[in-house]
Amino acid sequence: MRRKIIKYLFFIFLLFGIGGGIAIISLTRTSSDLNSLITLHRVEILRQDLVINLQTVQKHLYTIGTTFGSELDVIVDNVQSLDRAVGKCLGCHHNPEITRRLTRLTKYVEKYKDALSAFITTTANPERVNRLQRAAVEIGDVLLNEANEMTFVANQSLQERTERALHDVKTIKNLLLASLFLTMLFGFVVAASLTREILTPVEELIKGARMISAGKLGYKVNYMDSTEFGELAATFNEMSRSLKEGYEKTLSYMEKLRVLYKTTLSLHIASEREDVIREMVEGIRGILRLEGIVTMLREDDGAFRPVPPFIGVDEDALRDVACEPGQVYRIYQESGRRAVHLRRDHPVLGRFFSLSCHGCNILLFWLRKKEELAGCLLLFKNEKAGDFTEEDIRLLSIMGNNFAVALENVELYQNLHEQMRRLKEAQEQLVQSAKLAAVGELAANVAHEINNPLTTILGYSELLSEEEDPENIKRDLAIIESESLRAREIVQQLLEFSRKRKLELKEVDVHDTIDGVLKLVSPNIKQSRVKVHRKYTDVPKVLVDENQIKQVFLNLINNAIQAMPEGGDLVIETETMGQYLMIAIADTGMGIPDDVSRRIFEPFFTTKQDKGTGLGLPISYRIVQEHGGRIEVKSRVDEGSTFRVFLPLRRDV
Amino acid sequence: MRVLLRCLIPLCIFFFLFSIPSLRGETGKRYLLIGLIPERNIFRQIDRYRPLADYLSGRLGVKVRLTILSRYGDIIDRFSQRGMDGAFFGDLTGALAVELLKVEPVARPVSLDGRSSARGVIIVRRDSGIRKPGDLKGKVFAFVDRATVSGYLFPLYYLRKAGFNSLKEVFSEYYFTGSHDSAVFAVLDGRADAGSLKDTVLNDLIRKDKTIADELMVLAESPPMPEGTFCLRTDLPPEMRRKIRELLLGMKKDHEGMKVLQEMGLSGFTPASRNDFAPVIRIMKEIGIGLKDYDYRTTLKGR
Repeated sequence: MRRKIIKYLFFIFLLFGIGGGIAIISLTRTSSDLNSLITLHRVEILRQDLVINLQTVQKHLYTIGTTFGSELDVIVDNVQSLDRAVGKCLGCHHNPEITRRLTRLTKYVEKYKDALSAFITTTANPERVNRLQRAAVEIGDVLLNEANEMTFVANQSLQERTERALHDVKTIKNLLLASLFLTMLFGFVVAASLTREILTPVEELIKGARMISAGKLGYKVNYMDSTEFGELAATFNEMSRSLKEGYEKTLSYMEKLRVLYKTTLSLHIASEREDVIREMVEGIRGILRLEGIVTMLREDDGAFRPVPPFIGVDEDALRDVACEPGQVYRIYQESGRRAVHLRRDHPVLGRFFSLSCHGCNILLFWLRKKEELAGCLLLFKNEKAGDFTEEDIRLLSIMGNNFAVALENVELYQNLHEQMRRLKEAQEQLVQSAKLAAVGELAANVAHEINNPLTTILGYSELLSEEEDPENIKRDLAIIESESLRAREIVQQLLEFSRKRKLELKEVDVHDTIDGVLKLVSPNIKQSRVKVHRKYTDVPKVLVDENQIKQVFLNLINNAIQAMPEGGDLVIETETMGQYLMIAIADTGMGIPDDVSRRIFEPFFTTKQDKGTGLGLPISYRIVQEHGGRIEVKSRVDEGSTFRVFLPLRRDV
Repeated sequence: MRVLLRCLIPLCIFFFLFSIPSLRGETGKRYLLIGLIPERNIFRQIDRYRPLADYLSGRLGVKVRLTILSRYGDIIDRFSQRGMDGAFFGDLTGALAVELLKVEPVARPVSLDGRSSARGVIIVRRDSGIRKPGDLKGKVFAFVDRATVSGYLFPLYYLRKAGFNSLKEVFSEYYFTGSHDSAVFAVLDGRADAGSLKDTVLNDLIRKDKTIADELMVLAESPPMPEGTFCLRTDLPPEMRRKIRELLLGMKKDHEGMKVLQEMGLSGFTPASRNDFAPVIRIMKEIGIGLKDYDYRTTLKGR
């Protein structure tokens, strides 16, 4: 293109040059014509001046006499101008007639100069001076005549020259116009052609650039020639191709990363060694597009054995095959602990792939766990897919590291599993012995509780045999009866505690329930001079077994009253707390020490010696528990205790 | 009023601007004026010196103009009046100029045969029969100018030695041709029987026309007199005088200068001094004329 532009410019300049050159030559010729024309005119002027000067000099010759001052310079100048003019005229081309006339004129001028000089310089008597003067005047007159005669001839020549010069000027004008027009025409054609030649490839390139920016990587500009634009288009196409290639590379790399991520994720989720190996080999095959993979791991006995699952290799062929650790370590050391390309006839490992994967490149990749050799991978890649690259090995390293971690995880998991199992066993044993101990204690408590009335009954039964007084017999029998009843009550309560009853649920307003209980115990309240404070809030109804809950409240209120033998305040509060309805029963009694409060929900634990059975609070606790609630106790010695019962507001039955 | 002002201000500026060159023109002459004496045909004399003037113009960077006088004596009278800066003087005019105009002799031209002087000669036609001073009695004599040694004082000295004290008692008519070559032509053409001039011009003419030597003969010859001495006025800047002197003396070593010298028929210039005019003073002394008292103006009065 550059060459073309230079060529065009050269042509334009050439055209200009030719036109200009012709014009300059013509101008030079014309100007020389004009110059001679001017000279002719000047000559004519000179001639006229000469005539005037001659006339002046002639007049001086008559008037001034023989003394000349500064006017002599004028005369000299005039005569010399005349001389030069005549010389110039002779120098030009003239016809012989003019040349002859001029030659004659020159001679006369010379003569005139002599005569004039002689006249001017001579100092003599008047006659001699007059003669000299006359001689000069005569020559001057002849010169005047000659000069006047030449006017006509000069005019004719002047006219001819003028016409020729005008013609030449016209020709030059036409030449210049033609040259200008031709150059403009050529310039226009060149501009149009260049514009078209430049615009076509530029438009193509713009289109290509738009295509690429729209995502059509690899788009090829359809323009080819040998100019710079052709080169640009080729470069553009190359750029487009390399962009596409780069993009595809990135995509494939991202795909590999995705598979890598997926694989490593599943590697870490797997909890069995076999699963881990499977995930790894599947992942590696997916990423590297391999024909076959064999995993070898160091077993507990130190030998390296192939571990299934395999890919592309017959599992049976590898069953019961093992490598001596020494052999493997030697290869490991020889390879510099790096991945190594293997030949098919490898002396140690050859047997793993002699039967399969013909026409494959083989790579041995080491698996390390905590910097210790844990095994290796034998990887088979079809020769058509090319050899293993650095990138492949880098990806393998990532996989290998993840594999090592996953294997460790599996081991850890299995360890943990074992530990858990053992813990559970121990726990179960513990529970069993605790159960036995509880039953033992319960049996002892029950025996003790029942032993007391039985002892009394036995004692009075013995007394009866000796008693004669009927009154006494009656009294003793009454005691025996009373004690028997007491024993029966203990047994019944024990039954009650141990019996699992089905809850008969209905919606209950706890305030009513509490009020019912308070009515029931009102004699005791009066007797103990206890003041009751009800602090009820607006609470919803709850779904409970009313009789059982009533028993809970009865137990708790009775305990409270009993804790205040000298009187006090019984405060009953209700409140909604989150998902629970809370009922608080607080007293201002003696309070419960910490060591006691920890045990108050145990069966047969009592602080009331012979007054209670030690089953009231355990039963209450169990009832609330069966309702999905709980009982909490807060107490301070000498200040009082607060029992808080939480009942669930919603109950999914 | 405003319109008038508007017209006047540009006019003032216009005149101010155009007055500058004219002022400059008045402050100093921007050319050197060199005077010439009419030793030959005045037109040829001018033509002869023009190449030298052009050469000096080119070298000095100042235009050198020539002016010619119709009488030898005029150069003394008009040197200052015409504003001349220098002139080529003849033998007597040179001596007069040094004495009266206080000019400084700078250089003298050297002819092709190595001479920088000329002898005065008295010529007669061979067929005139004039061979001795006495033969001149009653003849017509053509002098050149009263202000030349060769063209006037020498024949006067010649006649004085022969015992003639007045020109009128010797010649029937005498006149002054004003230039040396005219004197030759006057004798040749028979307008005079004898004439006097300097031999260099005679020899020049003979070189151009050999027949002159056949027709004329030299009756007497003077000692050599300084010829064409170039003098400069002393109030010209010394630098300029030095420059002109060096230019003239160095012309023969300069290619362009050599060309000019050839055109003038010269071989170079030689340094000039006041002493060069000693022969002039001597011959005047012998005639009994003082330089300061000499009436150098050529007229026919008092002949």
